[in-house]
Amino acid sequence: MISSKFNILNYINEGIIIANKDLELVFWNSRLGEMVDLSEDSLNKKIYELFPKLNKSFFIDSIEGVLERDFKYFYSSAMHRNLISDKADLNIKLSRFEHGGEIYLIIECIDVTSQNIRINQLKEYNKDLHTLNKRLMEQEQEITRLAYYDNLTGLANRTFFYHMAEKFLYDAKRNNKKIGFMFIDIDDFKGINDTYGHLAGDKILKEVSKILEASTRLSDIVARHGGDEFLILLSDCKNYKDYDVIATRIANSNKNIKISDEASIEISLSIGVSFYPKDGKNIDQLISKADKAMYKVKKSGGNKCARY
Amino acid sequence: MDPTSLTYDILKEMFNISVGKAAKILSEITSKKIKLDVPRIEFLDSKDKREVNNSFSNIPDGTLMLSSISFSQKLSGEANLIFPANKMKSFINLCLDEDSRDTGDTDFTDMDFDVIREVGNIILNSIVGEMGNFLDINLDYSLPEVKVFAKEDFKSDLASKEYFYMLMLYITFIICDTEIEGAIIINLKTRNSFEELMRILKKMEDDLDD
Repeated sequence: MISSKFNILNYINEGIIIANKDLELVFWNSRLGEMVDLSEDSLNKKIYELFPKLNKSFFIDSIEGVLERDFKYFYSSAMHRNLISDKADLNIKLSRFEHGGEIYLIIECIDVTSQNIRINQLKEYNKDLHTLNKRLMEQEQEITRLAYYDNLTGLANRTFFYHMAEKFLYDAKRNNKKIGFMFIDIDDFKGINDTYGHLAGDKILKEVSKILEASTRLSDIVARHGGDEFLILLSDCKNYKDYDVIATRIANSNKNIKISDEASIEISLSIGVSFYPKDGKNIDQLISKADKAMYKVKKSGGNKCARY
Repeated sequence: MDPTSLTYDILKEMFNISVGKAAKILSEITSKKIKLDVPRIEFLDSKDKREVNNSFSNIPDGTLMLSSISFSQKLSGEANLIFPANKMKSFINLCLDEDSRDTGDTDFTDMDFDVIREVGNIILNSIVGEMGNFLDINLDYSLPEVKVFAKEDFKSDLASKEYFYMLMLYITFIICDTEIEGAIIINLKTRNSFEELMRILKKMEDDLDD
């Protein structure tokens, strides 16, 4: 700290650097002395020599603007690290003042180190919370998926099917609509599993799921009932013959399924159909009737669709 | 004295030179390609409420971030730089090389405000400084203040003022591939300031004609 006409500035709590119009250091206050190593030898040295990081074209232009045109500049510690001091994060203000007929450059250094540490801590904390929250949401989605969807085929599972079927049935009862239930079973699935193995069996189940989804409308629900059995809910049927369209689409789809590079299997499906209100008044009755119709098809050789 | 198409051309030229200089400084500071452009300018007079409302409907909706500096002497008023707050958050993250997707964070910290104060200072300094330079007048002005506020509050605050004369500059800010549209509103405090500006511009037009 140097005795000077600017000594009063030693009583303020921000670092102050004052340079003359030739940019030679004429004063720094005691607060700045705590943040920067300066000595008596520093006096009258150019500020660019004492603070080399200021020696960039935009600072040089800024300082010129301050001295010549009374511009004022603000530089943030977030964008400019260690401009003046390595010990503290400083926001910098550049302006000029006149004293005794001379123009001086004043550099105000506001210490925001503690504030920045706190903000960065909060940012880290927030980042951790965000990551944790994201993971919890993913887990929740996975739990929902496992609870309502079949893991192998991605179709709705039996729980979800019954849940939705109740809602459709309620709507059908209220609004005098017809809804249909298809019970589907893969012919000789046990034989395929025994001959080609479980991996081939899984492949067949996945491909059948795709066939059923592609053959139905967006408003229908396709579900895996369990094993090689599938269910379809045909929503809002205009008449009992409507299932024909879906059954024909299933029948016409390519059922030659490639189970490895060398082998493919031609599969067939047995399908039984029941309708509300004709065949039953609750979901269990309707599925049971569709199952019985399917069983009848199966007994007569399979590969067919029949109504209860 | 009403502005002519030449007045608009002179001002557009002047402001594009200013924001060009600001873009150069910002590119250097951030080490990123930054472009600033003023595609359109409008004069707004409190007498013409409909015109003012039309112009304000072009300002992005929602929460806005405002940097403002006051200037005085031969012209006195306020220059306000306005950008949508959510886009400014992305801009700050780009400047600081931070990825907000890591945190989902949309709140502004004091550090963010400091970044905007610095950016606003550079842009508004260029605008007001160049205006003083171009019009050959001395302007004394402050460091910017930064605020976040709702567009509607800004509009009603303005509506409560009895008289105002404003220059509305639409500004496009492009950093890397992110484009941010905002505005600079230069609010001249008195009718005298507006007339002084028009007188200087008229003189420039006459000089160009000679």
